[in-house]
Amino acid sequence: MIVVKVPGGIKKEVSVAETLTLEWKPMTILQWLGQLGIEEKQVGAVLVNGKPKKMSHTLEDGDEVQILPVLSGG
Amino acid sequence: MDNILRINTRTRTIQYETTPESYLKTGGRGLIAKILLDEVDPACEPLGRHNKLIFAMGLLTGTNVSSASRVCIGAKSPLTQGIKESNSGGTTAMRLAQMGLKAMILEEQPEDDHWHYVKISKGACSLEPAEAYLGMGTGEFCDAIHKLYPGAAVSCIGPVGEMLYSSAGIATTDADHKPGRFSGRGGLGAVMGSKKIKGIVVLGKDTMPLADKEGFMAALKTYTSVVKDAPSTLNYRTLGTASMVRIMNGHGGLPTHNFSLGRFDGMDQICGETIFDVITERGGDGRTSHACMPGCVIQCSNIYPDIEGKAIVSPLEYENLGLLGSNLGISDLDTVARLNALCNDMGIDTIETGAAIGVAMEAGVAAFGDSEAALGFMEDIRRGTVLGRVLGNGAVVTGKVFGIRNVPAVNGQAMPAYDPRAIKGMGVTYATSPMGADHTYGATARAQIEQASSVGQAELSFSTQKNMAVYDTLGFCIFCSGAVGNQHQLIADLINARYGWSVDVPWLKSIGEETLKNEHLFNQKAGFTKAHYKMPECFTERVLPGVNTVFDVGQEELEQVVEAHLEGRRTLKP
Repeated sequence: MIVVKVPGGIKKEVSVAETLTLEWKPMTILQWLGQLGIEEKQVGAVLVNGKPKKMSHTLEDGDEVQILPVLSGG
Repeated sequence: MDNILRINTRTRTIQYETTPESYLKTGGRGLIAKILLDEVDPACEPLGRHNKLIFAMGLLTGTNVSSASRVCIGAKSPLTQGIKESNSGGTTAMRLAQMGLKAMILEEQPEDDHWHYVKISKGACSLEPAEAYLGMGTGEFCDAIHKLYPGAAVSCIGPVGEMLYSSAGIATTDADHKPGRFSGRGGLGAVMGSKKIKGIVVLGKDTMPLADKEGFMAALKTYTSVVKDAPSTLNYRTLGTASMVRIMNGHGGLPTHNFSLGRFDGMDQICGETIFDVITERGGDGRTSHACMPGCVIQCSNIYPDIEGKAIVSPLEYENLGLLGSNLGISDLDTVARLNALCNDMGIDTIETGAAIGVAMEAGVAAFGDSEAALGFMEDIRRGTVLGRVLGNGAVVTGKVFGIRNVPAVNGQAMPAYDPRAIKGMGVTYATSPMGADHTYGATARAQIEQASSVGQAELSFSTQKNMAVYDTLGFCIFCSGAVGNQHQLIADLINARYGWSVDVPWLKSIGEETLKNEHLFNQKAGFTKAHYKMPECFTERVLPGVNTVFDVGQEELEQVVEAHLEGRRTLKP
């Protein structure tokens, strides 16, 4: 299983934060986002067990994933 | 905090004035606009004696409220010929506020060739000789000052400010006493140089008076927890603004090869995740998170080290990765960091410099991706060769000299790292800002909107501009806005406890609207008309590959934004 924390507002239809527990499959972060219906460009960063990882990173069983919202630069 | 420090650089007289009633309930960018409107002829020459350089503190600056002590610096801009305010983090504003100052005004200019720095402590101010420091980079100057006054807060110019380049900025020391924070935009460093002032040095610390200490501490606790725990804060603290590299590339709006493309083949090598990994692997001085001012809980800054772990630059941020990286076709992070560090040390705006070099590369002065040539241009700029002076006076001047019409600039100022054809709300902000192309004037990139569509972008930019104006006028970092959201009462509660006032959320909105109106009024009096607020043809007529669109928000809508600000309207449409 993996646990995914999704902040509110990343998906148009979900305004509140949600925590999802999902059955693990050997997929990259980008593939997981696609499965969750989240556009990559709506995601500011993805932390896996507290560390930022690229979209090409493959999740492992037991991972805790936190999706963070987009920022404005500076 | 009720004094204005006025320094006449011609007569070298120094006066402390009680802040007029009409200035008490504003600060930062808002106070700068008021003082400029009241005291400076908008038609004046920016580098002449009639212009004034103003440092203005926010309403909570100097307190221990996180992210509320930005240093706001303003004047009439030599780059845009309009009003300019540019703010940064660091320690100077916090210290100036703690010395009892609401604002500091540098006016006139010397009739002789003597240079000075301004030394400020509690109740005392003097002009100290600065000839010995001329030609020094910002780092060397700060090191020399810190030998005399350990721990002093410093805002200073580098050699390009002394040479009056239109892209010269003002550097401010961070919490580690390094001058890495920049009021970079609009040539404010040249205005300081025109008054023959090398820097501002602030000694000492103090605590700020609080009308209701208990109420303040309670409000502070709530505010701090909201900002600290927000998901946006966690992103700032982990990847910082560099997280935008991948996202803008995804939107097809990452400036590449002088804004001719919006996606960069080398994106993966300069994105936030790679920076995090490189900093972590190299260790040493490197930090993936770092506070630019004491007490900040967001900590979006970083320290980027070389392969031996020795710091190259702090911070390495999105705009610089875009303008000095992808825009120049450079994907080597160490080179981008070195270009950034060289800009910081000579005291020049990274955005304007990256854009100017991009224009020169399109002209064939060097090939895109040529790191050695880019580093060589930095040497030219610093030494003041003819090519260096061209580049150092910005993208528009560079375009004119080399006969290039694809110049990413509005009203004289280069665009930050958001292509306005892909992020159209940002394009509206660039076109309608009275300060030239400026992302912080109304940053729309995080909005839930179809970014490349023209629909709704004028409304989005208009409302974002109003929100940003509130934060800038309070002296707050706009990075709080993602955490605070609509909970503006949190900020009102802090202000009320600090001063014993009873302001509310509508009042907060009104000070932002007043700021926008005053800034546009200044420009109107300087000769700007609504027709000045437009997007250049290289963006309205040249299709951005990948996104397959031009900037197509209508001129009528752009003019409506300006008109709405001038009339102080709450809504875009009358």
